[in-house]
Amino acid sequence: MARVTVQLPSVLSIVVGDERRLTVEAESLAAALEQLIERWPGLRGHLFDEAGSFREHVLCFHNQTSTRWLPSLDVPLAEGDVVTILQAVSGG
Amino acid sequence: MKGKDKRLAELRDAIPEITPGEARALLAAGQASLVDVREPDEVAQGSPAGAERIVRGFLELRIEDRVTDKERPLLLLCAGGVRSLFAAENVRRLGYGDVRSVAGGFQRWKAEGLPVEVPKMLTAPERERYARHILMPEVGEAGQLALGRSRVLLIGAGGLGSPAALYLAAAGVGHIGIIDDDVVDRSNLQRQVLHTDASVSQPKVESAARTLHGINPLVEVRGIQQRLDSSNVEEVFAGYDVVLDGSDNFPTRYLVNDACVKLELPNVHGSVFRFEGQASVFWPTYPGRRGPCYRCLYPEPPPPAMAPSCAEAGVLGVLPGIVGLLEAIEVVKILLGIGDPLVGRLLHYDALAQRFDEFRLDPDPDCAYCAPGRPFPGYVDYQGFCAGP
Repeated sequence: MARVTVQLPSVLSIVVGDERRLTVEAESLAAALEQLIERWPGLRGHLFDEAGSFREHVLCFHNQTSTRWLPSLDVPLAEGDVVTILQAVSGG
Repeated sequence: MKGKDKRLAELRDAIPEITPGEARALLAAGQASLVDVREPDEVAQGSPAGAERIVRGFLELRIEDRVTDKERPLLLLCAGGVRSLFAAENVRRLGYGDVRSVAGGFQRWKAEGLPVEVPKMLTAPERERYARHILMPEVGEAGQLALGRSRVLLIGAGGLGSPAALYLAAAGVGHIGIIDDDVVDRSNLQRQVLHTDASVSQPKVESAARTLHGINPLVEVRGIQQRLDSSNVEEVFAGYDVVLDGSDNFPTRYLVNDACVKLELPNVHGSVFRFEGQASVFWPTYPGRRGPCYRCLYPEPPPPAMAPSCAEAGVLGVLPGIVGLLEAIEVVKILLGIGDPLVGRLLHYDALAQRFDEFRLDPDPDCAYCAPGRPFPGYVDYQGFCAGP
């Protein structure tokens, strides 16, 4: 199990409240996201569509790298990794 | 004998001279650098074609940035061949191995019918206004002139467009276009610093033009009081070098992306929400590196229920100041061709944590809009595209 930092965008504070930077222990990226969803079930609909695909207006970064073009989120995590969720925002 | 004449005689013995004809031949063959060391008002009347121009007062400070090969012959030219002798001695001490003075200077150069050009130069007021830019070799007089020739289009005179416009005008970007169909509302003034209380209810583009002219009357401002849509986007974008996206809605962001991809324009992106902002440069044809377009990043907009706007959720007034200026810096870098643009990189700013994070962005190899070799698929119904299922 790796201890990793997860960062969430403030646009998701409607689901996660103020807890936008937290530590979780997980073996893979998919498992880390599942832990978050277990804690905040409303998060699932924000991250995944009805077919279970990662939503196209949401970005997930494993450290500095986007997971958009990976075949799956079963990416092993290492101690100290950072997982960041971002979402398209339109404000200007 | 005056001290000056004695010193000149010594210099003539020490510094080799070269005729204008010989200097021209070496320059044309790419075998020497020619530096015109005269004052700006002299150079403005004409200067040898292909010469570097460094005023003698700054010669020692600037020459090593402009003439990097110290083994190549370095030919100095003034009006009559005297100042160049004095200058040559100093330049030698910087380590240039073969410094020569052009005998008879520019007067003889011209009399012999050698090629002359009248360089575009900054005026004295411009030189004063942009003095802190000109001091930096990355900008210099040539860079400042390039900014003056540049045309930047701002999408929106709002939270992001305001700070960007202020600084781009101050920096001397020669032409600033601003498209915005809105009027100033008092609730805008908490962040849209182009506008004042006195401009409430007036068109934003008029208020913007007034403010920008007040900062820099040398800048041309074109206010376009229209809503950007598929029917006018190419006409509006025509002739611009860079587009700065400061819009406040997804339909416009996708439209700006698609038009920029089609027209191969750099799309300098900024967006904000409450205490957070994002900045990047979407420019798939950037020569330095293949980066994504906005659609590679976000192939689809969020369903409206998942993406409250700033009007619904609020935004810290200072935040677009930071993000809009990140955009303005990217614009200036692109116009000057300096530094590393945010192509293929997303900068995320969190004001509450006061931290910047940078993420790598890869292009979608199958992007319908920006993948190489694809025909442009056309504009879409952007309102419908962003309205959700």
